[in-house]
Amino acid sequence: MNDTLNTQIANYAGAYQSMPPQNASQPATLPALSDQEQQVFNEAQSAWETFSNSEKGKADLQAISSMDVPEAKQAVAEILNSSAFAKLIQLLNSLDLPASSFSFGITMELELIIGIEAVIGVAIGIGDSKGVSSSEFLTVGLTEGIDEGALIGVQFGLWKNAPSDLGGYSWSSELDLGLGAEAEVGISYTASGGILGATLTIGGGEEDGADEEESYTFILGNQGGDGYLKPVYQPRKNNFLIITSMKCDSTQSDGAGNANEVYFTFQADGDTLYHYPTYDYFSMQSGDTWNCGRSVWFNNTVQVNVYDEDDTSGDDSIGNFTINLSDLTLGQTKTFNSTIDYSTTFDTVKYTINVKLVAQNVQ
Amino acid sequence: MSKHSIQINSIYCNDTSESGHDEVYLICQADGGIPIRVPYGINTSHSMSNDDNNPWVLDNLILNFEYEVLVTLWDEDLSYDPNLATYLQSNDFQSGSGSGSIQLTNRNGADYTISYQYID
Repeated sequence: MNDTLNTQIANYAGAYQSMPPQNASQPATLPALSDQEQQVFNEAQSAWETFSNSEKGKADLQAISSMDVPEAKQAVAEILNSSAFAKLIQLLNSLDLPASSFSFGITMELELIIGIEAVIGVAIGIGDSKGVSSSEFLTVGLTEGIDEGALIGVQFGLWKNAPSDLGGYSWSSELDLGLGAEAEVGISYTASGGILGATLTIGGGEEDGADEEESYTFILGNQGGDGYLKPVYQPRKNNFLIITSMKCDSTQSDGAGNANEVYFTFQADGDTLYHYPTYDYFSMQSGDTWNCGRSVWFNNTVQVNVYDEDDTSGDDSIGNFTINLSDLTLGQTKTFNSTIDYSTTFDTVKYTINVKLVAQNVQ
Repeated sequence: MSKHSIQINSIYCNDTSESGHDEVYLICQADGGIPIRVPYGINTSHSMSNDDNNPWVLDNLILNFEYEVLVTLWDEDLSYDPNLATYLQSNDFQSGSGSGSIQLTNRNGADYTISYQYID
């Protein structure tokens, strides 16, 4: 699994973790699958075996593991259009199912300090919702005993709600259908025990012995589920520093007042590029100090590039800083000067940063 | 792995970043980990103004961390798009003891005071 997909899903996991704890009441009796639902899941399982064992299927799944969330959601949606699923789609269109949507998602597990199981998928309208717009979604839930960074399988779902209404909390309990270790059928329900639908999960799935699994689904592409894509979460590395402050000794003159609209990027060991602030900027004038307090995990080096945001002519570079582990002493703060030499230019822009090494060799 | 805990008791608005109210929310990130939003939930915020003369009292907001926890104040300008949020200020809490407050300002006029208490 690539870092971009990890960090983007971490933002959704953070949004999920930010929500107040929920309690759910499992329905007194879990409904059995109807013959038609069983027929759909049987064909789905067969289609998945055909697809995932084909050369194209293997290549498509391998490609998804190196994509970001927007690319992955599109790629997953396209899988459902492949020939292996043609019979399944035909079946969904021919049966008189009480469900309103059918979902197909790739499941993956991530180690983000806590274990997260995620499903990136697409839901299409069937039954009463046939012909309505499909929805792409991301479902996240906590898990234990993860297989880090792996695409672990697939999940199919038959849902009472239309594709655009699948967002929010749900809980799932497994139906004991004797499908073996690699496949399981779960019944999903709301906090009050209202039935939402049924899922077939192949590969991974619920933990052994777990009576009830909570998850939260974001509908991607709508106003409530987007905008969490800029990376914030950082995977742990060997060393940890804090850019405790940034000082502006002299601003860059951009013709728009005497302040710079400052933000910076940081990149540890050439990996994911982060922005701070994640959005927007911090306005600074000569003499100002910004106690930004931005922590960074790194192994050997951190590159920090500072910019003056300029909506009209592009952002201006106003400082580059290269921090090497060998420059730092544990527990001490060091001032870094920009490696950009402005001495011969019109502006005498000058920014410095203070950096404190707070942990070393922790892995 | 958390060794330390700090409780954010309240946030007081001395002045806003714009006329009227700021729609304030926090992003709390301990040790570079998963960012947590307060108030809890998607697209949630707390409307604040100095005219209100009323602190935002946070109910049992305890942040656990090993090395530091970065608390960032945002003004939500368009509820569904964090790309359009306004950065107000931030403070990085490291290990400490006792209680205190810290004033955070920016050149857009935002002026907030965070009151906190170290738990251990």
